[in-house]
Amino acid sequence: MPKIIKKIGAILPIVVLTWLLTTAVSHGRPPVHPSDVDLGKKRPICTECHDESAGGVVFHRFNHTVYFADNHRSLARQRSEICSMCHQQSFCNDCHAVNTELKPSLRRQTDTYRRTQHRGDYLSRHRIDGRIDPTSCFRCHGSPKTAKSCVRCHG
Amino acid sequence: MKNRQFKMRYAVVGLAVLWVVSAPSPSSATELKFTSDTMVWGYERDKNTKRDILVAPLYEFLQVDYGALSEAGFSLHASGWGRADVGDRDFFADNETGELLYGYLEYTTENYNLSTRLGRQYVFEGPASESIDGIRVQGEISVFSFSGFAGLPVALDEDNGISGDAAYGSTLRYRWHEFNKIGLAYKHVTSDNNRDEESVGLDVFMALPKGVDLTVLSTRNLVSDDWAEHFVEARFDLFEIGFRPYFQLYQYEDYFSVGTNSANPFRYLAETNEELTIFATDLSKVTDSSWEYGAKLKYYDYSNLGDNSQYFSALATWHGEALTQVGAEIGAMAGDKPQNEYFIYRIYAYWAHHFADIKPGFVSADLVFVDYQEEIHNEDSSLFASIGSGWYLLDDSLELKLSVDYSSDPFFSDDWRGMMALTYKFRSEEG
Repeated sequence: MPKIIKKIGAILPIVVLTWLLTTAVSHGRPPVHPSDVDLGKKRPICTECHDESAGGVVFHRFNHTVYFADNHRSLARQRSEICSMCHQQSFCNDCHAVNTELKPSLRRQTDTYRRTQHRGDYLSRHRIDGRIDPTSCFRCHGSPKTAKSCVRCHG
Repeated sequence: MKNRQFKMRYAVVGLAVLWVVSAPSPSSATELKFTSDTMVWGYERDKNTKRDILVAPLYEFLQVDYGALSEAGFSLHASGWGRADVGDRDFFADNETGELLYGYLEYTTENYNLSTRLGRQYVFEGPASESIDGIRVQGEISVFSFSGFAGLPVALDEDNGISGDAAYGSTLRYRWHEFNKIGLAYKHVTSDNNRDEESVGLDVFMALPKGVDLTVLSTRNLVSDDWAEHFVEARFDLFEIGFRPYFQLYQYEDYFSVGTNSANPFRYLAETNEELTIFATDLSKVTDSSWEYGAKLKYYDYSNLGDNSQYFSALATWHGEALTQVGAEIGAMAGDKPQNEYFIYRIYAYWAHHFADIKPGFVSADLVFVDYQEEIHNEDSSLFASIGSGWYLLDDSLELKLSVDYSSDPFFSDDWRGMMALTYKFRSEEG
């Protein structure tokens, strides 16, 4: 291999790393959403305060409109760091920690403003929903720990 | 084996303590946040030997957050639950009586949005959706963001203990034109030294012209060496209506794991070679007059079953002050088989109100009626009704909630349940 190639090969990673560190942009994003902003008992509509998109964040995607609870999977998969600015893991656990014995709608029985899963008689309805799209069950009940409510009947 | 599990877990905790003690604290503001949720339910159930026994589980959900909670620095986070049986003590005999859901130390920096977590935690990243006892690092450098995790998978600790178990993975994302992102994620789960799951995920987000957002997610199962899932979603506004058309494709053999980190009925489904394709769209419209409308259209198609199903729903919600809302939703699951068909109707309300001498509280109500096309256990419908109320006391740090619900359905003819919950929130701040 020519010497010049070897030299470039040795120097290039250092140059790239230096460039990355010196041009690093943290967007000035705090680890948690500023507490002096009133995020209290109301629906979080991010674009009431933020632009539609700014600082690397497309804010309108995070507006908690009526179907947000149904459709937040792709956001959580791609931008979990944005979710964690406002939500502790305990908030996610209300629905996603399925080994807590209480289904989401019972854990937050009086929070009828949330579209919690399995509201009402889901024991009957899940026979149909499960036949039609079992992939939606698997996401939360797919491990030995989280399938304990399934194996009682399904073996 | 249990001893080894404890030793490993204590080692993780010990490492975490050493990590905190040895590192200088960059933060001067230490906060303590504590939330206690105490909840007692009461209802009747039948057992083989006795009828109408009183079941009254008392649940306690605890959450503690301590350290630099509002700025960069060290912090400790823990959450868990426990249950005591006030009524019949045998009803939950086969269930666990509590669990630590998460307990980790976190170190965050302002530079590079770096976050390091050590301890029990949930990891939602790419194809990974795991609870682990281990470490996770996440950060951003310039146009790149990265994350990595490694630890013991909590879900597998009951299967021959933790010896030979491991879960690890990483994600690398590249951002261009400020908002567009492409990411590649990897996940590997080992059970008893055997490769249990291995997958790679691709995700793309693009902010296209004319306000169109495009998301693509794909997951490839490296054990079966085929695609498990494809998901394509677009979001855009047209005539002031929000559209969200999406497409999903699942190959059961590759999507459902058949290894130790899975369970029935999914292991069975993995052997069916079924392929599910979903074409769907959500529509939503928010008006200035506080009304919000939504609709869902969903079409399911199967490669082997040879039939298909369709789901339609529509809702209207009125929003008032704070979380006040009143709404109604109607939906229908239709298809080629009567056993898969139903109509669902829901009316819901949450009213934040002010009593004369009592702190603001709320009243909530819910009514769900389902009409099944084919009977389930000789019943063709389900009715669920719930009403609740809550009061805020002690400067809103204490919340008392009461609710009563009723269900008449294929499994329970006249089922009444009562619930009382007390939520206490404490937050302190020091210098």
